[in-house]
Amino acid sequence: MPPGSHAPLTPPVFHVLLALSDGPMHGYAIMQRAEEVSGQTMGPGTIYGSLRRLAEAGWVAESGIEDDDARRGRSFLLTELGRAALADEARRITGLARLDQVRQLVPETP
Amino acid sequence: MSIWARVGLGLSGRIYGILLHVRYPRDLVRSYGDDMRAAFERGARRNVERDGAVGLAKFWRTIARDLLTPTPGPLAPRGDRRPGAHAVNRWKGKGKGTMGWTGGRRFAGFGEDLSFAVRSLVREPRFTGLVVGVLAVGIALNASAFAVLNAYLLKPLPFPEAQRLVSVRGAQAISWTEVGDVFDRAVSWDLDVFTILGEGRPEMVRGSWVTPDFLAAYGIEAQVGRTFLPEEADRGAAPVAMISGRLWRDRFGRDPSVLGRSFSAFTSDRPDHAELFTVVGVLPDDFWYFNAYTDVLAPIREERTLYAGRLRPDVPRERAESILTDMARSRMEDAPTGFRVEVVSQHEQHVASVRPTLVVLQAAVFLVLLIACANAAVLLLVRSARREHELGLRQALGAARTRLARQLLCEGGLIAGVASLVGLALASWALELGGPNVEAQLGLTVPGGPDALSIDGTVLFGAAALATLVGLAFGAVPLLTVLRGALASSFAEPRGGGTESKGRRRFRSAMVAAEVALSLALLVGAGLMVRSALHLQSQSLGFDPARTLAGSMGLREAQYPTPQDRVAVFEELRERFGSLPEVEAVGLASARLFSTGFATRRYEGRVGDRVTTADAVRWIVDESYFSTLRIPLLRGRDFASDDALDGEEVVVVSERLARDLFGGADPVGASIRLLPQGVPGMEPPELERWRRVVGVVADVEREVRAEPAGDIYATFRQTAPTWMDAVVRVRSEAPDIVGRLEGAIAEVDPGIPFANPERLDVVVDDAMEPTRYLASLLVGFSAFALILAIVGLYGVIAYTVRQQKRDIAIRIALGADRGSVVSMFVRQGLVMVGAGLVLGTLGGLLLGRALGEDLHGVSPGDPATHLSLAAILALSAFAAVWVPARRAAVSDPMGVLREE
Repeated sequence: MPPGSHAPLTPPVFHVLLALSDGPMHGYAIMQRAEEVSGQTMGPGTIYGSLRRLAEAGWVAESGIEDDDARRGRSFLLTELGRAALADEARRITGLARLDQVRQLVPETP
Repeated sequence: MSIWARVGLGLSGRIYGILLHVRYPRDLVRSYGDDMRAAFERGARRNVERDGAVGLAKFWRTIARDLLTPTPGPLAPRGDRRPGAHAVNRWKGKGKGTMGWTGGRRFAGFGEDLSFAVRSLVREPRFTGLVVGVLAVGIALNASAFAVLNAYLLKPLPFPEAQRLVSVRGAQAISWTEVGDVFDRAVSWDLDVFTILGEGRPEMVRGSWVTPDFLAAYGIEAQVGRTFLPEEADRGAAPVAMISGRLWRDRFGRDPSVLGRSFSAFTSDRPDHAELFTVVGVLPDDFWYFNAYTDVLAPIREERTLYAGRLRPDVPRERAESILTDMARSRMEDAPTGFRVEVVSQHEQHVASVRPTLVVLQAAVFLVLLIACANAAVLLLVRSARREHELGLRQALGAARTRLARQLLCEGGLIAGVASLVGLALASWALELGGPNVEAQLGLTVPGGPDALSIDGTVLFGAAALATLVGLAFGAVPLLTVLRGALASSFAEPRGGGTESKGRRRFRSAMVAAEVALSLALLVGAGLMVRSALHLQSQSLGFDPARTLAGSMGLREAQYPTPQDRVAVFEELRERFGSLPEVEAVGLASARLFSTGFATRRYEGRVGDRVTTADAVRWIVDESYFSTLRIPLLRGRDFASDDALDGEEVVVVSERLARDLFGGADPVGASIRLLPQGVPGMEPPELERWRRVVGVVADVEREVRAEPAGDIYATFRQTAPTWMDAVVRVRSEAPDIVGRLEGAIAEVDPGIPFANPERLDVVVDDAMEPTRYLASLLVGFSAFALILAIVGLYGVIAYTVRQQKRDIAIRIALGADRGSVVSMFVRQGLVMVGAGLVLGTLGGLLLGRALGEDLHGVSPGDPATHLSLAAILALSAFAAVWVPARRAAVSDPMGVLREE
C-alpha cells in the first residue's frame, strides 16, 4: 500500500512501528517499549498479531539478526514502506494537534 | 526466587503455551508461537521478580485482556463496521465490565459474575488451592494417559490414506505378485542384517528386502534420488539400495552426491559373497516404519508370500478376506475346517499388544478423576453449607434465585477451568519428561515416532470435555441447595447449629461411599498387577539367564564355502571362548531368547501309524546349548558331537511339542517334519524331510507373550548355518567380557563381527518392564486415590461432628456416655465405608477382568488380593472416622453450649 493513502493506524500498530523506528528489536522489547510510551501493557497476542499483519503488508520484516539469547525470539525491523507509513501517521497526528480547535480542547499542553 | 515462584512461572509458561494454541489462528502460532511464549515468560519473570505472586497475578490479568482482544488489523476501522473496530476501544480499556468483556445483552452481568466468582474463590485460598490442586492432578493424569492412548490408538498412521493399509495373515500359499484385483499395491518383505564392509570393523545395520512397490504402497518418496524400479527386483539385476537418513549422515556425511555411490555388504540372502549395492535414494529423515529394519532397503529378488498392502479403494476388507481365503484354500490339499486368511488393519495389528494396557490405564486414571471429583464435591458441599448463611442473606435482600445459581455455576466453571489449565500444563510437563520412556516401557514404537506423543487438538478436546463435565458437576452441587429454596429458613437458624437437610446428608454419604468404592476398585487393580509382576519376576523361565551374555556371529560363505568349514569355525570359536578363564560355559543357538521375536511353523509328527500336526518354533543349537542355559533334559539324549552331516538327521523337541504331537506316546524315536506347503515358485525347505526325535527338553519361556507353541531343535552340525549366537555364561562379574570375546574372535578371523551383545538377564528383565511399569503406575494412582478417599471421609465426619457440636454437648451434659457418642459417629462412618467396600469389590472384579491379558499367574478374582486390600482400606477408613469422632466426645460440653 503506498504511503499517504491509508486511514489512521490502530494504536497497537502505531506503537509497534514507533518502537521499531529506533532500530531492530524482538517482540518482548517492543512490548516493553510500547508500555513505556503508551502506559498501556500490550500482550504477546496483540504484539505478534500486529507484527504478522505488518509483515504481510511489507511494513516490517524479520531482521535475521541472530540474538545471543535465542529465547528472546526473532527480531524485526522497519521497512522503507513501514517508515513512510509511520511518518504519514505522525504527520497526521501533528497536523491534528496543530488545529486551533484541538488546541482549545487541551489548553495547557506544553 | 522461591521454589513456589519458580513452579508458578513454569506452570504459567505452559498454560500460556496451551492457551496460545486454543486462542490464536494456526498460522500465527506456527510462525510466532515460540516467540510469543518467550515474550510471555520474560514478562512473567520480570513481574515476579518485582512483585512476587501479586506480580504474577497482575501479569495474568494483562494476558487475560490480551487473550480477549481480537487480533488487531493494521488500519483503523472506517466507521465502526470493521471487525477490528471494537479492538481499539477494548484495548484502550473503554469496555465495560471485568477484563474488558462487554458481551451482548444476553450475557449482561456475566463479567460481574465472573469477577464475583474470582473474588469469592480468592477469599478462601486454602479451600480453592485444595480443590483446584486435587482436580488438576486428576485432569493431568487423564490428559497424559489420553495423549499416550491418542498417539498409539487414535492418530492415523503417518501414511496417506492409512486406513487402506492392511496386514495379511495365513496367506503362505499366495504370492504378492498375483493379487492385483484386491490390492492397489501388495507388499512383502524379509528382514535382514546387512554387514556393511569398509574401514575398520564391519558395521551391522538392520535392513529389509522389500518388494519394489513397498514405498509407493505407503506413499513415501525419497528425500534424495528415487525409490525402486520394478526391473530392479528381477533375478540377476544389479543390486541397488535405499539408505536411511541416519546412514546417509553417519556413513556418507549427508553428501548430496551420494546417488550412484556404492557400498559392499554381506546379507543372509547371498551369504557366500559380499555384494556391491548402488545407492539410488535416501529415505526421508522422519521415515517411520513398524519395525526398525529400515537402515537399508533393497529390492527383494525372489517370490514371496503376501504380507501386507494397500487395498484397492473399491475392495472392502471383508471382500479382500474372502477372495484371499478362496485363493489359499484352492491351493491347499487339506485345508483345516475354519481356515481363513485374515486381513487386518496394519495400525490395529501394530498396536494390538498395547491396546488392553492403554485402555486399562485410561480407565484407571478416569477412576482417579472421579474420586477427585467426588472429593472436591464433598469439600464444596461442606463449604456451601458454610455459605448458606451468606446466600440466604442475599436472597432475603432480593437477589434473584437465577442470579445466585448463575454465580455458583460460574464458580464451578472457574474452578474446573483453572484446574484444567493447570492439569494440562502438568501433563505437558509429564509428557516432556516421561515421553521418551513410554516406548521402552510399553515395548512398542509409537506410530509416527516419539514426537507424536503430544498434547494436540484431540487431547485438548478431550480435556475440554472433561473440564466441562467437572465444571457442571461442581456448579450443580451448591446449585441444588439454592434451587431447593431452603435458604430463607437456614438464614433464620443460628449459625453452626441445628440439623441439616436429609437430602444433603444423603448426597454427601453417597459421595464418600463412591470414593471408597472407587479407591478399592483401583487398589485391587493395582494389587493384581503387582502380584502379576511379582509372578513374572519369580516364575520359572525354564532357563537360567544369570551371568549369561549373547552375541551374534556371522560367517562369509565365500570364506567358509562347505558345511564342514562352517561347523569347524563355529567349533573353534566356541573352544576359544571356553578357554577364557572367566567363561564357565558356552553354547551356540540360531535365535536369542526374549529378544528376537519368534515365528511358528506347522510340523507333522508320526509315531507308529498315527500322524498329527502342531505349531512350533524352530531352533538350531549345538550340543552344549541346553547345559549352558541349564535347560533340563527330560528324556532321551542331548545332541552329540557325532551327530554328523552324513549321519541320521535328528531333532530334540520341547516337552510341549512332544505332548502336542505325540500325546502320551513315547516321543523318543518318533519322526517329525515340516508340514509340506506347496507354494508355487518357492523351494521346499530342507526340514520337509523326516527327522528322528532323540530327546525331550523342558519348555522355556521364549518371551513374555509367547505364542502357545512348542520348540523343535536341530543341531548345527547337520544344518551348518552361517549365523549363530554365542551364549556365554561367565563365572563372576566380568566387566570387559565383550572385549575379551571380540579379541578371541579376532584371533580366529577378524572379519567375523560380534554383533548386538546383550546380557540375557538384562534382556529378560527389560521384557518384564511393561508389566512392572503398569503395576507401578497403578500403585501410584491407587495410593493417590486412597489418600483422597481417606481425606474425604475424615472431612465429612469432622464436619458432621462440628455441625452437631451442640447436640453432642447437650447429650453429654444430660449424662450420655461419651463412648456411645463416639460409637454413634463411628457407626455413621462405617455405614458409608461398608457400602463403599461392597461396591468396590464389584468394581475390583470388573477392573480385574478388564486387565485380563495383562495378568500373569493371578486370577482377576484372587481372594487374597481382594480381602487384604479391602482390609487395608477398612482399617484406614476406621482411623479416619474414629479420630474426629473421638474429638466430639472429649470436647467440653458446657464450653460449647456457652458459645451459642
